[in-house]
Amino acid sequence: MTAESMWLYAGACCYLVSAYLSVREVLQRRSSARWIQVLLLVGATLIGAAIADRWVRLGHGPFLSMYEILVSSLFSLGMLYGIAHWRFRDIRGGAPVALGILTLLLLWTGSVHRDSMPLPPTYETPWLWVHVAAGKLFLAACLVAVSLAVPVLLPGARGARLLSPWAVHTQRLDQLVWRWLTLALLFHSAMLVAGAVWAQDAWGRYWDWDPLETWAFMTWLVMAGGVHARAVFRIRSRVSSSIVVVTFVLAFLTFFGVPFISVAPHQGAV
Amino acid sequence: VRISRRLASLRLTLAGLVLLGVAAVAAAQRMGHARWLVAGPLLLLALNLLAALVSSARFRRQPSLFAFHLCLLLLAILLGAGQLTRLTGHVEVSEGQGFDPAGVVIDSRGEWSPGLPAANAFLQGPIQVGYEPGLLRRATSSRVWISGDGADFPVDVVDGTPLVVDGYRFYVTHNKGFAAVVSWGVAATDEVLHGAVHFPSYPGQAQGQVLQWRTPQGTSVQFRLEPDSLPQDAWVLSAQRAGGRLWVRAAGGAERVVSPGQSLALPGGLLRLEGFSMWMGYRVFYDPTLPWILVCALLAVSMLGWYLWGRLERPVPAPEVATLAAQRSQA
Repeated sequence: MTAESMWLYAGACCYLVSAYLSVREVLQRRSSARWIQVLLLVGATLIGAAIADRWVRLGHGPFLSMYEILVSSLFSLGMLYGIAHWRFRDIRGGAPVALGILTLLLLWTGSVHRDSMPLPPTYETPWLWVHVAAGKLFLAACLVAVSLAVPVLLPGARGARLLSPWAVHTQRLDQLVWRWLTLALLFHSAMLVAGAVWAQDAWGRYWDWDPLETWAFMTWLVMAGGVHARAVFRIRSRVSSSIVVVTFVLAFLTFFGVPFISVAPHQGAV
Repeated sequence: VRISRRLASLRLTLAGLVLLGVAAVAAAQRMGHARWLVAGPLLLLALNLLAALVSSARFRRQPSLFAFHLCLLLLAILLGAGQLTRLTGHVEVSEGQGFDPAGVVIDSRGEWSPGLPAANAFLQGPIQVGYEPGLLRRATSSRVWISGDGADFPVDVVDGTPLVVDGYRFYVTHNKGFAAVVSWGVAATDEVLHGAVHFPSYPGQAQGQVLQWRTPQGTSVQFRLEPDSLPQDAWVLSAQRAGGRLWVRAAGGAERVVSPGQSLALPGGLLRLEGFSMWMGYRVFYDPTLPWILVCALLAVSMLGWYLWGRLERPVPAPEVATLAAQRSQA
């Protein structure tokens, strides 16, 4: 077993235990917040070590293959969600959903090939870092929002039961969800701007409606539309939460689907 | 005032966003007139924004939100102006030759776009492209010479860094190949014409290094090149890999081979092979609004950040706390 695998599996174990604790917290009403936070941050550090090991070996960061994108997302989402969980008590009710999504990402990571390819010359720009960092922050804010939105959509009183240890009122929950989604909108906007600067330098056009750009823009539109719709209509919390889930699904497909089925330059193939 | 309020309606904003989404899908499908499909909803949103900025009390209360939306409005105006002044195209220039605006193939041109840079705005120098095993393209380097302050100075155009001449940006692309530098002596007049013929992109079309050329007298000539075999390890593509010989076949005749410095008599004149060089395919882009678009976009993101600053930690509004307390007491 390589050092990279060892770090990765150790980090995955931390994530899985923290996911288990978050579910136990709801079922047994026993607070495990501190352990969840510690395990998430330790897990992210271990996955970070796996990324660093691969980085040193290949000479470039995790920006290209599906495996690299998944591992880097596991690192950033675990780290950022762990910090948010520690810093904002109000969001802790969404931990089973957020950590469930992280578990799915873990399972997916285990099933993909760890292939590698050289970094295209167009990736050697500081804008790559701004673009990727803003994208990771966007996805993390989106993860917090969707983790709080999903319980609202659960049938009957299950959602209320899920969130009951934190006694979060539905109206306040809706407000919280949209605060995080507006934060996601901010990071998504920064990601689009940095991506456009990079695209202008790399391919001589800042926008060309390639599949990834179009999907990213649609995600931005859904978020912007949701923010304005809440200001215009008295939207029920279930509808409001549905918009958040749609945003997350769009973002998830944009990050983990479109770049790997599209032949547009975003693949880094040119 | 009533019209202004109606125009500032958030319902209209929502309608504009939905229309923009539909237009975005159409633009992504490369449907005809997609540019105008996007322009319609953008114009509607810009008018809606303008009216809102003038009339909305909320914007007056929250300067950060006002500034964010003002930046969005300016962005929409700049994007529109950019469409009208923009020019995109592509051009091939071979080593030793100057830029020729007549050779630019224009892909799109705005109604107000100015003329292209003058002939010989830059002179093409050596071109080199690195490759790794598996034909993976690495760094591209294209040196050009530009006149300025009474002297020529070199500029290296590489991936991610365009050459900028008179506001026009020239980007290196994956499209490049070999060129045969030839001269054609017209038999009847002793006039000698000089030029370069560009073979298909290399190594993308390594197996098809053939091209047809028609002499000024109308004779069809086929040129064929047999470059050095593609290396298995890391290598650098340059004119030295062109193979050193050119196969020439005039209409109906046998194929003959010429080396640099040799001549070949063909119907109507004398073909002389001067040597081999590389050509580089540049993407040409002109949009004077580009820096302003960047400034506006960065300001918009900053203003949104300012608006959101501290909102995450803002305490629950009092009525909601009361509702929550009431719920708990009922429970």
